[in-house]
Amino acid sequence: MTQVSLKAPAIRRLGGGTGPRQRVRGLSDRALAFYFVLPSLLLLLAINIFPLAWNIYLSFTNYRANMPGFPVRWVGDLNYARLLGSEDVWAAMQHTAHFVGWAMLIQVILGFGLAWLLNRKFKGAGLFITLIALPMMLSKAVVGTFWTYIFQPQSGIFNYIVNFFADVGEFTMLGNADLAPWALILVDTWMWTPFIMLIVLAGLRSVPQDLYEAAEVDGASSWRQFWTITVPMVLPFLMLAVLFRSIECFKLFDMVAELTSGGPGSATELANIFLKRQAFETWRTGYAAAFAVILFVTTFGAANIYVKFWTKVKER
Amino acid sequence: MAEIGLDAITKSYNATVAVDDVSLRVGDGEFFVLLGPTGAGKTTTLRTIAGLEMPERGRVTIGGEDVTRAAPAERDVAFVFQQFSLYPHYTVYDNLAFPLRAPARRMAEAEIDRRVRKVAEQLHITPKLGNQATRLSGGEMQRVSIGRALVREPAVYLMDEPLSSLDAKLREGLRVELKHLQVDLGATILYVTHDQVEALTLADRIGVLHEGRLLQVDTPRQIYNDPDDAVVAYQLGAPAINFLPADALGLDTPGVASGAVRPEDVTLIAADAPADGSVPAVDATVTQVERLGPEDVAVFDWHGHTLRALLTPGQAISRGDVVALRFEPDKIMLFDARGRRVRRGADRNTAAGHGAGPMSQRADTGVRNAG
Repeated sequence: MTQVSLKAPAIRRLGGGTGPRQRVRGLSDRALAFYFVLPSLLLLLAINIFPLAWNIYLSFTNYRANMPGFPVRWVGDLNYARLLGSEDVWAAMQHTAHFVGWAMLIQVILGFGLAWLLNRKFKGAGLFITLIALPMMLSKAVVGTFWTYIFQPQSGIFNYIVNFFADVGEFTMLGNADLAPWALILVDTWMWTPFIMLIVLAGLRSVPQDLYEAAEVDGASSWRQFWTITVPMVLPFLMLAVLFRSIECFKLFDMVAELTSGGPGSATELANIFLKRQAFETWRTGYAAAFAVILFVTTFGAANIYVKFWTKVKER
Repeated sequence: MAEIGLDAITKSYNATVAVDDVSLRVGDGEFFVLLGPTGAGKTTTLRTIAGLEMPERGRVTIGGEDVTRAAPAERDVAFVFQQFSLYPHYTVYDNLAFPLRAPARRMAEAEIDRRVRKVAEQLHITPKLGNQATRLSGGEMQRVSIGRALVREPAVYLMDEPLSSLDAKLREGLRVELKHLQVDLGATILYVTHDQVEALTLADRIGVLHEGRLLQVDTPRQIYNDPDDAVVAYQLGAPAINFLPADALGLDTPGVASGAVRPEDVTLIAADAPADGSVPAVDATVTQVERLGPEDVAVFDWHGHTLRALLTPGQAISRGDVVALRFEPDKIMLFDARGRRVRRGADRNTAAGHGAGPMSQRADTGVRNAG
């Protein structure tokens, strides 16, 4: 008696636990599902997980990608220690912070302003929005390339326009260590303000009109309506746009590569440009891998904190 | 409190006339209900009074003062919206205090607090004062929304279907409370609804709007018993009044196109009951019986016409039965081809007494008169 009652569950467990009804030629539903997901799992492993793991491994070695025969040595946290003590790394991080901070501030103000203006009904509003959104649809490398022409000191239209309003004479935007960072911010703003505008516009349009009417009947001024209704309602949208844009700005590479390649000197050497120089110009692959890990952790961590904050704002 | 006056208000959107030459007077302390189907122009009328819309023609007065061109904030009106329209990022307390904190009011924070707490008490939402406005149930939200109007102690209250997004039980409860509040405060309320029950129970007077025109203004009892128009007759009463073409009723009064009889005036008589001669009866087939509890609604087919009757429950009838119905001749209301009421004057009593239809015999012995 005891033996039987003990064995019965064991036997059922051997059978897969799902019962005969759910089996298709010996495969349970779970197994079937697994086989369907397997190809994409393998692909993900091959092109995402493995490179990430390999990169983390390389960051602890002295590997050099241009010297295949060179003996690879485990160096422990040496790369990390060097990175954190390096002036160049801190400079690159500062350049990045300067770029992300100013670009976001300017784009948020302009994007919000544009959205605010375009939120009223007028003839051709749709066409207007499409035209404003055009730069966003171009390739970043192309934008970088043609802005180098726009910034040309002799023939570029940028110089001409600035001189039209203020007689400052010929100047080089990209060749000047003080101006070049601002050139990047300008181009990024030109290209990506529409993105923030579009998302804020969606936010503005989601605000129920009757809230404004209620406030109007209650005697609230336009200024009070803006701060008590518009801003809180649009904030979650705006924050989402800023999150997307900050991540993009943080990992910006192609546009800068075309515009300045980090120059003059290292004035516009953003983190990613620095990374590329370390990895593929000086060929310190292990060192660059360590920097990549640091960048990854920084972005990932910051984005996570931000999303937590955003969820809070959204649920208010 | 103050009275509201509308003089020949006209408002159109592009080609559609939403409000067509509407004149109306709501007395001080009166609960006035504008009743009409969707698109009748009720809300536009209300918004014109609030100043959220500008009429093309006409004049709006509040408390005798012409406010046609005044901004909403200058009119001393409170508006209660159908979708509550609470400020979502504020607590209940701050929502209630919001109108009082308008710079024009310059009210001391102590006075604001006193008023907010008083209104919260009146509406039984005191325990919810600290809650986020969006974390309330629909009924609580509408209480806050009504409270936001009450704190201001405005000259008039404008309410745009305030109860229609609540479920039936809540709607009933809040309806009773609202009426109590209005009586207690002596408030002037202009209330818009498409729900005839709300209109009949709340109103001191009802105005029926249809396609932008005000068809009739009267007390609930009068407007129910003595409608001027077929649309008005149809708007009030559930189940709706039965319309039958004049020839089906055997009416041959000149100018009469149809007759209408309320479901409660249709009575079921036993098929074998001896006809007493005074009341004509018809044979109709039962197509449906809805048992509502306190009463049954029976739907009949009579020569291709649909008839509804309110019956006392427990009648042993079911689908397919052929039964005898009768309606009191003097309960039949007559309408002309354009839907205007044709009233039977005493002088017409004999003129139409020779009809051929089943209920024409004494169809015109009615006691109604054109007054």
